[in-house]
Amino acid sequence: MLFGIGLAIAVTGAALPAWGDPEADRAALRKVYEKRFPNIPLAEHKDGAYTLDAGAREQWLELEDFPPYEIAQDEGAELFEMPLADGTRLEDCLGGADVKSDYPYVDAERGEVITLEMAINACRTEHGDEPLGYDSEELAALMTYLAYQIRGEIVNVPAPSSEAELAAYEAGKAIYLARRGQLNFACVNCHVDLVGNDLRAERLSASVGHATHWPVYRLKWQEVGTLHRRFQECNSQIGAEALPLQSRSYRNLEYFLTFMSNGLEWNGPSSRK
Amino acid sequence: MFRSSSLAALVLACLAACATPGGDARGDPRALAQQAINTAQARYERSQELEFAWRVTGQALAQARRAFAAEEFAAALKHARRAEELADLSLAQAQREAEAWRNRGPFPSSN
Repeated sequence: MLFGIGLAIAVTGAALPAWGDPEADRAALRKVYEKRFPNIPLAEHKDGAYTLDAGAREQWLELEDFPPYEIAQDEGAELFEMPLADGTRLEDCLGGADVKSDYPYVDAERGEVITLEMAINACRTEHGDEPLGYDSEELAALMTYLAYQIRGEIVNVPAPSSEAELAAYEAGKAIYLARRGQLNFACVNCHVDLVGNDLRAERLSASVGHATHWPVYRLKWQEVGTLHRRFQECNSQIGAEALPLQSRSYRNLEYFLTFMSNGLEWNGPSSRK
Repeated sequence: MFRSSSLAALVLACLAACATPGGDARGDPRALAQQAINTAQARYERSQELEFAWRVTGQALAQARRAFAAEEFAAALKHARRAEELADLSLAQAQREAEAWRNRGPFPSSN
C-alpha cells in the first residue's frame, strides 16, 4: 500500500514537495532542438515530422491542398451553432469561438487541468444536454472547427506558478519522462534522444509543436482524432495499455506539452499519415 | 461408526477446500489454474491502478481464461503464470520509474 501511495504521488504529482522551474525546462528543451537542428528555426517544428522530412513534407503539402479535415470542420461549425437544450449557444457558454488558445489551464479550486473538451461537455450538461463521448466524431468535429478559429495565433500558456499549476506541470513532465510498456520507452526517448531519426517508416518529431496542430485527420484512422487519441496510440505502440481519453494523466501531459510549445503557432487542424 | 463418519466428513471438507479458488489447489488442475488466474488478475489490476499495465499481460490473461473455459487447465495455468510474470515486470517498472524519471531528459529541474 505504501508503495502504491508513494508511486501515485510521484507519478501523478499529487503532492510533490519541491517544484522545478518550468521556464528553465522549456529553455533546455529548445536548446536541444536548436543544437540538433541548427538550420531549422524552432517555430518550424509546429509541422512535426514534416519539418524534418522533406519528401514527406512535399506529399503532406499536396494533401493539404484539399484538406481531409474540412468535412469535420464544417460539421463542427454546424454543431457549434446548434443551440443547447435550454436554448443557450455554445459560443456564449464558452465565451467565444476563438477560445481554444485559453486551454488547457489549471483550475486552482479543482486542482486539475481543464481541457477544451471538458469545457464543451461542462457547457452541454449545464444547459441540459448529454455530454459528448470523448471518442465521438461530434466532439472531434467541434474541436476541429474551434482549432481553425485560432489558426496563426501564438501558443502562450502562462508559466506554471501556483501550487496547483506546478503540480500539474510536474505530473505531466513525469508522464513524459517515465518509461512505460513492454518496450520500456518514455516519450523523451523518441522525441528527444532519437529525434530526427526514423523508427520504421516514421521520422521522429520534436516535442515542441506536439500540441499545436490538433485535431488531426490521420490517413491511418480515416477520420479526425484528438491529441489524447494520439497519446493512446503512442502508449499502445510501446506495449503499454493506453489510459482513458481525458484521464488526469493525459490532461497533465497535454498541459506540459502545450507549455513546451509556447512561442509556436497554433496550426490546427491538420493532416498526418 | 462415529469414527468413520468423522473421517468421511474430514475428507469431504478437505476436498471442498482444495477445489475452492484461492484455497489449497495442489493436485486439482482446475483449481490450480483458477488460482493462477486470480493471482495474475490481481497483479494486473494493480499495474492498471498505477497506470503501468502492459498490453501483453491482458492478452496472456485472456488466453488463460479462454483455455480455462475450454477446460484446458494445463494451458490455462501456463498462460496465467505468464500473465503473472508480465504483471510483475510491469509493477517493477512502475516502482523503478517512480523516481527514475527525474534523472532523464534535458530538464535541469527534474532532480
